[in-house]
Amino acid sequence: MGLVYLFQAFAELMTLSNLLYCFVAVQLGIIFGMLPGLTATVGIAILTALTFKWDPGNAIMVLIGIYVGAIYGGSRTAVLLNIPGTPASAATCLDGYPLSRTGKAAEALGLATTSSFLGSMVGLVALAFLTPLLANMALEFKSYEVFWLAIFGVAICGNLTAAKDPLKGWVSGILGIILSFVGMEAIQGYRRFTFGVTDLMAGFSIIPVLVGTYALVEILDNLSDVSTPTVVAQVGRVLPRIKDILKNWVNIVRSGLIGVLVGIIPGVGENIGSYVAYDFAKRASKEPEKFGKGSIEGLIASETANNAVVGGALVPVLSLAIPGSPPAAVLLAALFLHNVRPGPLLMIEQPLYIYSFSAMFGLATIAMFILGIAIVKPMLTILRIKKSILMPIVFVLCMVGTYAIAGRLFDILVMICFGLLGFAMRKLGFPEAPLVLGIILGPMVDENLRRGLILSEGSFAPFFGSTISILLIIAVFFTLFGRSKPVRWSLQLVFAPLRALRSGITNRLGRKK
Amino acid sequence: MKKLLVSLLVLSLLMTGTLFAAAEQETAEAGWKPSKTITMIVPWGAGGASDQTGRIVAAGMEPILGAKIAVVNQPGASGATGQKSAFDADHDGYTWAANADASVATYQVQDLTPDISHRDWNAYFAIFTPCVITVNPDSDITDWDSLMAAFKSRRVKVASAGIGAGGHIAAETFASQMDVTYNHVPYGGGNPAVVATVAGETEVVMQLSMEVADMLRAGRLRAIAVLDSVPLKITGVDEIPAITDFASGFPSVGFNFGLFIPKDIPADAQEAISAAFTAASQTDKVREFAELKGSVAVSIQGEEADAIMEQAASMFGWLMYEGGVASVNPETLGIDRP
Amino acid sequence: MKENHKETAKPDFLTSIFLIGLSLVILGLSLAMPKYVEWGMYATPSIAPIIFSSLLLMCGIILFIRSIAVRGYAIRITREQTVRFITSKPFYNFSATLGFVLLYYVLMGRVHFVLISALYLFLNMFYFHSTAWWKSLIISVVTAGLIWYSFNYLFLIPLP
Repeated sequence: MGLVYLFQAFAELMTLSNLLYCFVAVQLGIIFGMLPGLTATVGIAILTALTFKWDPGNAIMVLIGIYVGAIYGGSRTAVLLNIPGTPASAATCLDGYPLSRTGKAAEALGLATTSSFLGSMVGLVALAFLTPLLANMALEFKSYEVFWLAIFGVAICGNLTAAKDPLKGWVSGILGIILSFVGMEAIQGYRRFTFGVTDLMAGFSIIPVLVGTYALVEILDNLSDVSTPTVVAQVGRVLPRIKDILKNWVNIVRSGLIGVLVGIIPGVGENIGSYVAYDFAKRASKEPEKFGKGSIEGLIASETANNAVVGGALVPVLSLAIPGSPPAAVLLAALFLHNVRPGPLLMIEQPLYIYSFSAMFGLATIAMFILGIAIVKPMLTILRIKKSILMPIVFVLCMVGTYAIAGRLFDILVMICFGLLGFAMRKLGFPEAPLVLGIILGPMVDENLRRGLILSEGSFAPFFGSTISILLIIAVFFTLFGRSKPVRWSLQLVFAPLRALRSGITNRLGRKK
Repeated sequence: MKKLLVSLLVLSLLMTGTLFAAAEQETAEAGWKPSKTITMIVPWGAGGASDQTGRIVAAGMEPILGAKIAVVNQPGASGATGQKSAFDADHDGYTWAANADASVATYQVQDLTPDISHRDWNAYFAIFTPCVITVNPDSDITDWDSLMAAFKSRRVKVASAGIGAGGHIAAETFASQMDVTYNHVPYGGGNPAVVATVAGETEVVMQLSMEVADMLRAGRLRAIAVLDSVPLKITGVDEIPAITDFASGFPSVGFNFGLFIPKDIPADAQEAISAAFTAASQTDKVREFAELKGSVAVSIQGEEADAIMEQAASMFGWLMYEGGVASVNPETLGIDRP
Repeated sequence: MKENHKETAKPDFLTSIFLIGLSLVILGLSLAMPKYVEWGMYATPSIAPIIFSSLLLMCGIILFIRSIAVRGYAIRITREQTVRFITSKPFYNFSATLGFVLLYYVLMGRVHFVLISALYLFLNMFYFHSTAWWKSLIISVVTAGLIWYSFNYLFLIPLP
């Protein structure tokens, strides 16, 4: 029944003007996503202002297009230049860039596009058909559960390293967490590590840190390297083989589900979803040693998850008027400004609205796929531009993007400082991905730990009081100790039958092709 | 190939340009005509109360002033960082802030902006939103009497948007007026605090009516009383009784949202902005927005707004100072005790 | 695995000392934060910094021990090595790149955006001999102008 409504809503969208709006919006979103510093959040905020006087239907279509496009667009620069356009694509760099270094940029971009598309589709299914069910799950994540989720995030830092040195991953992650404590904290308003500097009160926001540790480091590294750049011949097809996708179906479904789940949790967003999916893919993989050196599985996991988060984050927006991610918060405000009132009432008063909303999301996803595949070949020319011309231009865009986020010159200084820190870290073999993750996780750990203790008036017992908490604690345990022998051995015992089943299914699917 | 890329980029930029360029509207006859884009700094995250109020008013003022207004979100440090950068910019009328009276009035006593007083700003208020005592519908608190019984018999968990935020000030006022204690649970914003109460993590939340209106309509929260001397009407919800019906003499706790512009901008700019605000704050769009959000559309500026700021500084400043939240004695700043 | 660590033994040795020092400083600063707040000890702002600086301390010590194990302290940095490093082309390039970046930052907000951006781009391209100087100039000015135009007028983000 729901499917019929969805198709109906979809058919209604099929007008020339809608298609035009959608494609332009998604293209603009992709550009926003590619520009370092400009994220989905900023893109939606800007377009909210620009579309303020529009007909609500068109305006919302445009905003959804921007959201979908921007989350996807970040992967373009991540693959080509090792500079994630948005925090959501930081995990994509880990494998996407090594792939393009070895001449497989076209394939990587195509795969990233396809996985983003599939991830979005998982999100669409969740949004269109499971919203009432999933919405209540969002409310299950309270302070204790979010605390454990954040701890899980810290635990995976050790697994985000290309070199086999988890210790350096953790050092980098913990350093990120400590740096995130700078500024006025949210519980008591105490100013930590600000040393009386007013500008430090607001802390380090994620964008300057991201742009610094990735983009500036990449620029410094590229420009100081004198060896004549060897232009790697780019070979390979753009559209991935269906066989490759089928071989990864478990990975795609898993990453999609992780993305949707992470998206639903209020206040946790794209930025974390891709890391978690990446970690799971690495653990489940038969070739974990390839991760960080150009693993197709890793790329698929990260890109599937970050686009699945979009669908997930919109679930609580529609059903509870609670944003699941920062961009969703702005989208929610925009919906209100256009007199669409999401929330529990929407499900009662306009039960069909969810289908027209989902249809817009679906249309944007399709537009993203078409535009994404179409621009792969032209995008490759970026690799042929001389580094000494391209990199300074990228830096100008970094300056602009960092400044645009809040209009503060101080953020640019933060960006430059983190660039130097990141450069030193890279030379010493410390990975940058955990540092960025740490900056995101720090406030989550801090606030939820203390809030949890305030709620329990000092007792630790409630931290272990719910099924979700217990599941997360188990996940943390396996992340930290899963590779030690006794744990592995007992795992094998439990999962051997399951694995046999899966490989059976995979083989059959593969053969059909 | 490169040409193709560049032309694609240029083409898409041009297309967006033509698509998004709003039709130029004729400028009003005001003496001051902005020659460049006006920047409105919202010192809170996008989607919050200040942000939404600011954007809706800005959209109304754009055609009257004949200039674009760019909204920039600059969150952090309870909005002090953004408020300060609005003040640090040239006082030429091209940089505004959108904030709430209680926040701007207490930055100085909280030692967040030591050199900027609330008296340095001209305030233009468009939305008034009172605080509402609301509870989780599963709670055994159903009316005023059971609320008081609960507060007297146990430590009720009260969520707020953080230290010094609307919900905290309301709860503090409530506690001191009613002589009760409670367990204050701060969250990182109004929305998370309301969600926590909907989810049942906390029992009571006293945030702004703007932030709870939709949850009230959906029956996910139950309203007990509004911290005002008049009852509050929100469409789709039973009239919320005024707290003064139960506790006479209870002071109103509510917040005015609007624009803040430094006082010493050129006089002609001030005049033009003032006229544009008067028109923009009285449009149907603002009224509908207020209605939707369970708030009241107002249009206050000039001396009346100064009086509100002074009152807010005195009431909230002293409350925070005595509660240990603010470190600077309001007396040293010439703020009278309420 | 061991070989892998040996390569970076010397820098690891120094980094670990730095990390231990840093974590001790943070630990000290955190311990100095107010403890008795509205709710009691458990909600003090120092709780998380104390936990994580201790963890960093632990990691630092492990790294220290590991670098000692592969004799990280014994690898010397000679004067010639230092001189060779400082006079090397990568170091020059790095300093130049960083210098341009800092110059750009310092001038940002003081000089018109298009002017400094074009200057920055041109300096870079000129230094690295990317193309003929007049081509560099054209690219610089056009890029800077295009970025300024699109941000100020299309995206409505005012630039300094």
